[in-house]
Amino acid sequence: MMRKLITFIFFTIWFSISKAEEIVIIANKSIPVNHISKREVKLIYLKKKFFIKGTKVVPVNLHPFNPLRKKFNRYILNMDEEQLSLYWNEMYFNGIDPPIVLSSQRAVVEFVSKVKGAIGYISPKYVNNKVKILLRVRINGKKSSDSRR
Amino acid sequence: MRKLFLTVLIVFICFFSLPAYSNEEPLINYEFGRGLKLKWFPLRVGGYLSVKYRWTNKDEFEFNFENLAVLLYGDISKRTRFFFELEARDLYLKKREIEIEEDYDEDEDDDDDDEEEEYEEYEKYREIEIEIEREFEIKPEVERIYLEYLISDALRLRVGKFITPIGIWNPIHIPPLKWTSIDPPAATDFFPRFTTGLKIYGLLPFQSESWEYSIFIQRTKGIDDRNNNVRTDNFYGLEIKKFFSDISVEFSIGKFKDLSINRDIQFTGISFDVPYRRFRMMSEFIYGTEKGSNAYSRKSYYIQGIYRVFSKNYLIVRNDYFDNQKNNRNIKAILVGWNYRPLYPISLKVEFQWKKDSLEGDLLEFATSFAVLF
Repeated sequence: MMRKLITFIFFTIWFSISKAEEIVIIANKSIPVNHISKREVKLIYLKKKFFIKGTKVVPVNLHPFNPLRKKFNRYILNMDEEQLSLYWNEMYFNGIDPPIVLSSQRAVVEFVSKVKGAIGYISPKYVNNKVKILLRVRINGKKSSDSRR
Repeated sequence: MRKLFLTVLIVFICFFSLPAYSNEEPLINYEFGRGLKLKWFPLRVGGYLSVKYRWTNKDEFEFNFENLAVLLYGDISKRTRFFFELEARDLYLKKREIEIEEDYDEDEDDDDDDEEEEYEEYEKYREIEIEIEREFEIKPEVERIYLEYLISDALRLRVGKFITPIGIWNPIHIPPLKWTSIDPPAATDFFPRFTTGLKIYGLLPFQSESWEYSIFIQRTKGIDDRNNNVRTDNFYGLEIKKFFSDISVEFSIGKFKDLSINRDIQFTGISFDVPYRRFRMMSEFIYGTEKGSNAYSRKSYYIQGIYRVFSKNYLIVRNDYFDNQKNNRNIKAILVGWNYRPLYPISLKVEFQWKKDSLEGDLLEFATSFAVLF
């Protein structure tokens, strides 16, 4: 009985680790820091924070149907698409546009590598040496955790 | 002017939109509810409109094409923003209402200008039935106009006419954003909705920037102040907001001179916004006092719960309270409403409010409205 229980726990843990995903927050090399917190990412994407150590940040988003954007909304912004739409209604009324939307993760990497102050999010497999990693967020089931590079 | 407004409106409605998901900014980009942006022009053009109908069990009613507004805004430079809102109100209005005339004096010939007399106890009231039917008319007014300079996240400056940054309701007081058509008195009767002057605001650079502040000063007459609820030439205020994860608590204080009664008024407010999954609770409490001899106080609060019953459909329940020592008026109200947003820029609202008013008696009110951002 005990052996079965241990085997069950082992497989449960192994399964959840193997299903773990990461969202990588990348930035243009002009951004003068090597790490930011999840809260800072949230403030930047909600256009409440505009600077990182004096450099104006330019957040870029994926389109609303992209699965990674849905995960980003859920685990980093803690909002769903409907809540975000209502939020951007309010910001529109106050003259603030949502982040620029790009068509793919490759486009995000390309944009972030070229534009000063740009910041984006992608899956780890798209990371290259033209951008710097500011944060890795592990999505493990329903929980998420910050981790430094 | 009417032709210009209609032309602008038709252009918005008819304009085709180019895909927003390309890697380069399109030449012309119109997105429903987010306005029109031309690649070569730094400003975006948009707007909103709203229509409202209300009825009460005292046989009062109102049909009102409430608002048609055009917004023009954008980043002029990396750190400078411009914002302009031109609004026409009550474009078409048909209503019948019963107003209570306070301090009604049967012998009006004895009227004199002695200020002290204004603040004596009110003893006499009378009901007046008013019927209004106004032709379709557009009278645009400058609702907001300001220039903003971002020095840092902790220090942003705004100069011009802007929305008074107090509480939760006032900063989003337009029909497409509000949760109900009927406003709570706590958000509308205690301070000027707009301020003309200087606003300094930002994130405080400690505790993960979870504190926000706003300081504002008005030392002049307001710009195009016809539709401001309070006319003032002197207004100071401060608001501090603290975020505990997604929960926010705001504290505000302010002081202004109400030019209509020539008195200084102070107010203090606190508000809470608590989102939890499909539920959101918001509440504002405000206390105001008139300064000087025969000073009176007023207080009001509301507690509102919003529940997303299913996608795009929201149930709203609100409790309002208002107390005015000046005329011994006390209002208690319960509102139940439904807000349907078939598309994110559209809001269709239906609501009932049961009101117990010490001055006007019990009242059942029905209101419905349609509002859209374009």
